[in-house]
Amino acid sequence: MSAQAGPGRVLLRVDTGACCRSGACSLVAPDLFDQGDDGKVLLKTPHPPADLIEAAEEAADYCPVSAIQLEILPE
Amino acid sequence: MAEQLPAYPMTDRTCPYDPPAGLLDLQRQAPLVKVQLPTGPAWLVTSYDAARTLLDDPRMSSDMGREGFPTLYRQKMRPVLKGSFMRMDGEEHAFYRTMLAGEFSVKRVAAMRPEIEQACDQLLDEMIRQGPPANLHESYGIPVSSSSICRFLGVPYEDAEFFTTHLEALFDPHRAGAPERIANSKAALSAYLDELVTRKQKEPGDDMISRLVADYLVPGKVDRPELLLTSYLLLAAGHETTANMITTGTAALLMHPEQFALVRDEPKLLRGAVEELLRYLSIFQFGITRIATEDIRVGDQTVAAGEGIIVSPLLGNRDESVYDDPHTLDVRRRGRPHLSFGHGPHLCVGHTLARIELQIAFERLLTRLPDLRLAVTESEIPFRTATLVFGTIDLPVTWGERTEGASA
Ligand code: HEM
Ligand code: HEM
Ligand code: SF4
Repeated sequence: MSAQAGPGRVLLRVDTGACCRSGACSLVAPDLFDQGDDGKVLLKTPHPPADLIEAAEEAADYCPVSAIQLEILPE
Repeated sequence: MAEQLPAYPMTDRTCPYDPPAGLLDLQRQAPLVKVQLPTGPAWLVTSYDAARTLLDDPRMSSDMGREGFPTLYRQKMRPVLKGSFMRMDGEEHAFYRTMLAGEFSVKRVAAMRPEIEQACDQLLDEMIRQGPPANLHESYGIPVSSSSICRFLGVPYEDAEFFTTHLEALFDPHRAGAPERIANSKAALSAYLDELVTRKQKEPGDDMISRLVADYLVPGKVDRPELLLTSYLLLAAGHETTANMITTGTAALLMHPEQFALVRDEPKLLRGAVEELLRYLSIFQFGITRIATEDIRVGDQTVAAGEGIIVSPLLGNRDESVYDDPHTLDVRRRGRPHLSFGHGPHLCVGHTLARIELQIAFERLLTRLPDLRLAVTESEIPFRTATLVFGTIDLPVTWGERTEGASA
């Protein structure tokens, strides 16, 4: 999927140290997350387009170790 | 100290799908309440939020070798064997999860889609050929689950009957003559897997055991008994659970025909429907056991170091403050993630495989047999309410003329 050009209003961050390689994020939001060969999370874009913000929130909630954070950036 | 603690586990369900009334009463004492297990007192976590917080708390240990670890049956404490990672903590546990993470990655599991679909279609072809009625568990739930886990691990499916029989002996503690039978079955499974590993060393295939042999056993990162135990645990934990979900999930849909029709007619609902069935059924019904290694404050209570804790996915999944109308099956629900696979670092390692398998199994079943019905009345379906895994393994179904050909 193509990431939106320019900065988005939401900043998505993953803590790869905390990530326990569950694959939950890639399963619920494959447009935003992938996994390396070792199972660790790979973020496809830190700026989810508007139509994927809900998916980003869902992935953060599914993460079993709270390794995914969403930050709302000021306009 | 004369207080009478409520006895746990509770098994007396009125509606087969709803938690026992006594358990729902305990939920009013959220977030946690002390209960009496066969082996002593322990804390039962009854709320969703506390369940999630505690399952991701490093002061909660899975090590059942620790003095005072809560057990649901009267069973002898055994030291945790090397390789039995579901009972380990921290770095030691993470080693095994890292070893398995690539195997269970979404990519690897998704690549199995065509094979799982084909297996489902072949089983449905056979059901249609033989004609109704059928026991859905034997004709579909079990073989879908065993063929998938076999393919995944690299265990020949021809041997499914052999290991299914032995796994049943291991996992049915209530069956008569158990101790000798358990010992025999353990020995048989262990010898079988040992020989399989030898074969994979000589002729590796495109499967988990072959890769673990090459990447971990040969370089000496794990020893042979460890690899055998890991393989055995995956086979055991992945077999009955998914089979049970397929059969019991179908039962739930057939007993809620409007929900069945929704999933059948709107394929887009499938993913959410599988999540809702996992939430609604909460088949790992008695809960996830842990022991506190330090004092842990939960709400206005304190779990003291050394006390046992049981996290109940069944109650967390029915928490009214999280799910509207929690006792209703609603395949269109888009709620918070359920607790049926647990939470935290021990989150079910097989959840990706189980989820994809369930999506495919229901999609194929409802497409091929769109007018599937119960072949008995609802009250005639036997539900197992006293086993670790809740559900039915006996589901007589029937269908009419309307069958669809395989999609391939
Ligand atoms: C619908 C089917 C399934 C359900 C409901 C289920 C449920 C669970 C739950 C609740 C846990 C957490 C236990 C804990 O935290 O102590 C767990 C862990 C585990 N499951 Fe599953 N499971 C399912 C399918 C599978 C499959 C298909 C496999 C293997 C292929 C599997 C293998 C495991 C293993 C090895 C663990 C231990 C993980 C660890 O401690 O790190 N499960 N499962
Ligand atoms: C998510 C599914 C399950 C997980 C993660 C799980 C985990 C485990 C683990 C780690 C052990 C110790 C193994 C050992 O020390 O050799 C064990 C033993 C046992 N489990 Fe489970 N189990 C699951 C499902 C079941 C089911 C379906 C049943 C029965 C209905 C069951 C009943 C037992 C019994 C009776 C034992 C003791 C057997 C023995 O002495 O080896 N478990 N389980
Ligand atoms: S859900 Fe969390 S733990 Fe799982 S892969 Fe994604 S970031 Fe890692």
